[in-house]
Amino acid sequence: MTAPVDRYRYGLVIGLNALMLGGHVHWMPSLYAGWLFALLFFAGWRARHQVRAASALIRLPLLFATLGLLIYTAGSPIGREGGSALLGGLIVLKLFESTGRRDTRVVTAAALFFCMIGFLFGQGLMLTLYFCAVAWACFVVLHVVSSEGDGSWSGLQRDLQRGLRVGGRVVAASIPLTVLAFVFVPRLSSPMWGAPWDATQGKTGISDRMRPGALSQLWNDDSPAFRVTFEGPVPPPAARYWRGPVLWAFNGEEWSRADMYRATLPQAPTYDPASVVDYEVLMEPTEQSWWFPLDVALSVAPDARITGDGQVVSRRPLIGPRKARFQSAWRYTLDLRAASGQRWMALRLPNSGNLRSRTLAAAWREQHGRNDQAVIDEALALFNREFTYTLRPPPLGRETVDDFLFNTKAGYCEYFASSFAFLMRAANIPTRIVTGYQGGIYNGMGGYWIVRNSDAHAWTEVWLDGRGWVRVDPTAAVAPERINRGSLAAAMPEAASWYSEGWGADWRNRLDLVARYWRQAVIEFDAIRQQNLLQQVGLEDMSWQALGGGLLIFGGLGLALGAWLSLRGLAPRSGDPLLLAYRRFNQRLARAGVARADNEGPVAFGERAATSLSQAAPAILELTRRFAEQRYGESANDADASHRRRLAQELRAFRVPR
Amino acid sequence: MLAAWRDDLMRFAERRLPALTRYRQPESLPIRLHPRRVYILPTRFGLVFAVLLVAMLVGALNFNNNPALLLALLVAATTMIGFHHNVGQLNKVELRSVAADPVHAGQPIRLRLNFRTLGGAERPELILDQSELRTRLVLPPEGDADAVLMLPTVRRGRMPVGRFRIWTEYPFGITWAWSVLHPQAQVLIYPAPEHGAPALPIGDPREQGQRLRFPGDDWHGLREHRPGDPPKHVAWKPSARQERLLVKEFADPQSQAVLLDWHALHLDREARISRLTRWVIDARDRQIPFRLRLPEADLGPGSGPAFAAQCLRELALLP
Repeated sequence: MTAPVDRYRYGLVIGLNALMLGGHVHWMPSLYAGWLFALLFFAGWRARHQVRAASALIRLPLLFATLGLLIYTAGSPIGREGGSALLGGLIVLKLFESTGRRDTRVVTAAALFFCMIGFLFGQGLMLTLYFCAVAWACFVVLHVVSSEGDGSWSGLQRDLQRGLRVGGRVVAASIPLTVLAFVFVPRLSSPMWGAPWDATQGKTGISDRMRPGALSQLWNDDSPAFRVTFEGPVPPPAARYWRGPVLWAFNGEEWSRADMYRATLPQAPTYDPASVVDYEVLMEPTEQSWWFPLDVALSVAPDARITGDGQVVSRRPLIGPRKARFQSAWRYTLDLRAASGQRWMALRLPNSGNLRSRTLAAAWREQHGRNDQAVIDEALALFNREFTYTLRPPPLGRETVDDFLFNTKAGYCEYFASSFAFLMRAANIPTRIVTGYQGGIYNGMGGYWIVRNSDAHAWTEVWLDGRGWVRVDPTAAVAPERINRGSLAAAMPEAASWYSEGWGADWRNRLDLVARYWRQAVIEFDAIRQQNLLQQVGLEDMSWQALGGGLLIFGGLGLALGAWLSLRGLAPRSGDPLLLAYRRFNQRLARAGVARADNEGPVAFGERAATSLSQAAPAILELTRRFAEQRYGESANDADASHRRRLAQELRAFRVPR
Repeated sequence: MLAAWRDDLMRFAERRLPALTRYRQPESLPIRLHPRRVYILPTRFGLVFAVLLVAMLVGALNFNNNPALLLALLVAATTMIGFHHNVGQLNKVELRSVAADPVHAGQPIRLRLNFRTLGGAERPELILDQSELRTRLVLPPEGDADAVLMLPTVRRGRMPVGRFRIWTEYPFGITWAWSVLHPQAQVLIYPAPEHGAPALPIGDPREQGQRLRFPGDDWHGLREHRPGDPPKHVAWKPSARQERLLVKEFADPQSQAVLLDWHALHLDREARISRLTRWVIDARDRQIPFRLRLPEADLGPGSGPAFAAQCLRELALLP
């Protein structure tokens, strides 16, 4: 067992761990993250006088408490979140067990590793910069704990200052090497092993189930879902529906997909050729397999297909960011002759429950006879008259549809879509729910549209004889501004104004532009892009050997450059500014034709130069005299630095007149 | 065939790795370190770090997670540039001198190794060690500093200072750079003084009588002029009174000088040296003038630390 480090160094390691955890709070369950911070605080408190390892009596309860809390908050210690959270907890707990110099180093290296784990949960520019800064801090801490120090606060300050300087220089000098290596390191065209977590477990984005209330986290999630670049005219706002999973089955509480329609081929839609748009979608990773094309997709990415109900499903989950080209038409007719099985699916309801809603629908049907459109209008009018749009609806009881329609009368798109579809089915009109996104904001600087997770939406499609599947958005009947300005604007009109317009929007556009560049240049840099980039600079051969050779050559150059830059930077500035200024003065005279011999004294040289360069003689003699006085005379040891500084300035300013 | 190949390999090793062979032999001072004789290896922590780094790189590549790859590459690049800083700590360091004040055998000797930098930044974390002894050395930029090691001593005589290792884990503790220093320097070790030796052989001063050494510094008396006496010693006034030429005479009293005689002791060789050493120390400490007679040298009489040091040196270097 090595001797413990002093308490200041130990505190430094604790601070580093806090920094590291800071990059993880955005995904960790907040209770668990808080617990880890509390553990760090406890470790620091224990070491306030003297660093000592905790006995098993303290460590074991802490370990069990951490594990218990992990299982309570994250579900299990396996999988992406659980495993990462467990690793973070173990790193923090390690601080209690080991206090020696080598152990603190190992904890520091583990913190570095855990920084990288953070990129499983986000790959944004800011996060990358943050973790690079933490990596720098790790090297600073490694530097400080490598020296034993004298255990005093001032000693630590000195070591820390040196560590910041040296670490900063070395990390900065390694940037060219890093960039070169990043370009040349051979990329794998396919992973050697699969993702360490279940690919369908993703929680961002839209899920394939809808239970009124479940989407609500998305409203607060302002991160981009995807970005769209239109080639040609942009469809009007009312047509900007981005189609995702289509939900058919309702069990009284939850809507879900019908698997049979994933396999069936779609009927080709008939469409207005004037409404055809081509566009490119840059999708953020969702770990699911839906693309969100503009309603309705005509042609899709090569590795995706269109299902019988118009969804576009990728063959591979969208684990990484992906880009694909689409063609859609926004004036269309879908499934004019729907199969009877489809219609039957779109009419199914649970056998019991929500009686008041069924009665209401039956009453409308009675009133309007076979006129489906009139029934739809009746329902929309009801929503418009009596319902309000809110992102914080009151909770619903067991009979969700009845409770919403007759009691709470407030909710957002899911509530309206769900209850509307129920009413329609009860009135014998085939109806299905479409989830996806609605809207989008134009980024004028980047020339693209951005659709955020907070734009997630749910609407319905009813099947009408002679018209096919027709989109009906009941939310639009309640809050038309939701369709025009977004969900936040609909829920909080006063707060939304600066946010989506004015300077707020301007800044958001700028930031998103940077984020998009980052995404395109770094996050999506894969084997294909590497090939394209290297071909542009004339490297055609893209074998592993060529890449390895390039990496060696350019990496070696980068390494040499970095080492030279950082080591040169560490050498003290040689000599006295006065002497440097005098050398400059000599160079000027040499350029004018009078060079000083190495063994020639300044005074003799000054006289020689003055005779050769008579036009500058007084200045040369004067400067030389003062230089000799300062450097060799009695005032050489004088503490008056201002004279020397002024003389150095004048020597630098000297020019030989022509 | 095989032998020729092995010779080639040895020559190559000698050329490329001089510190493994050539610099293990004593070298004359000053010893200047240059990159060819500085070696670098990972520390144990460095091996752990390397495993983590490889895991980071492979993981990032496998999942094509470019920000993670960027971070892993930044760490790798920083580590590699750290290698240069690690070696740079030893490069252009010079061992200028090795010095020590003599001690008696058995006492640790305080060895001062004077180092200086020939360029570059401060060397804050150099460590010098020899077997289990270790000392830290901080070298200012373009300056010098002493590293002090307390070396154990066993035998009298000249002691070679031996081989040192100078190393550092600066800047990150991931690698350590080391070099071998084997200066051709010796330090003097006096013999160990005998414990419980008999007292200094000071006889009775009266028995010994007044022994004088002529000429000396103190006024002794007048005597008759002899041819060759310098004229300025002539005492003119007494001469005028006595009507014969008298000169002033000067002499040093020699009564207290102790004779420390090798031949008077009937002991074996090292025991004699040990006892004489004890007596020289005692005489020095009591400020008694003494004379040391050795088989091939006769020192003194004399007194004071410088004379004692001379005597101890002769004793130390006796064959």
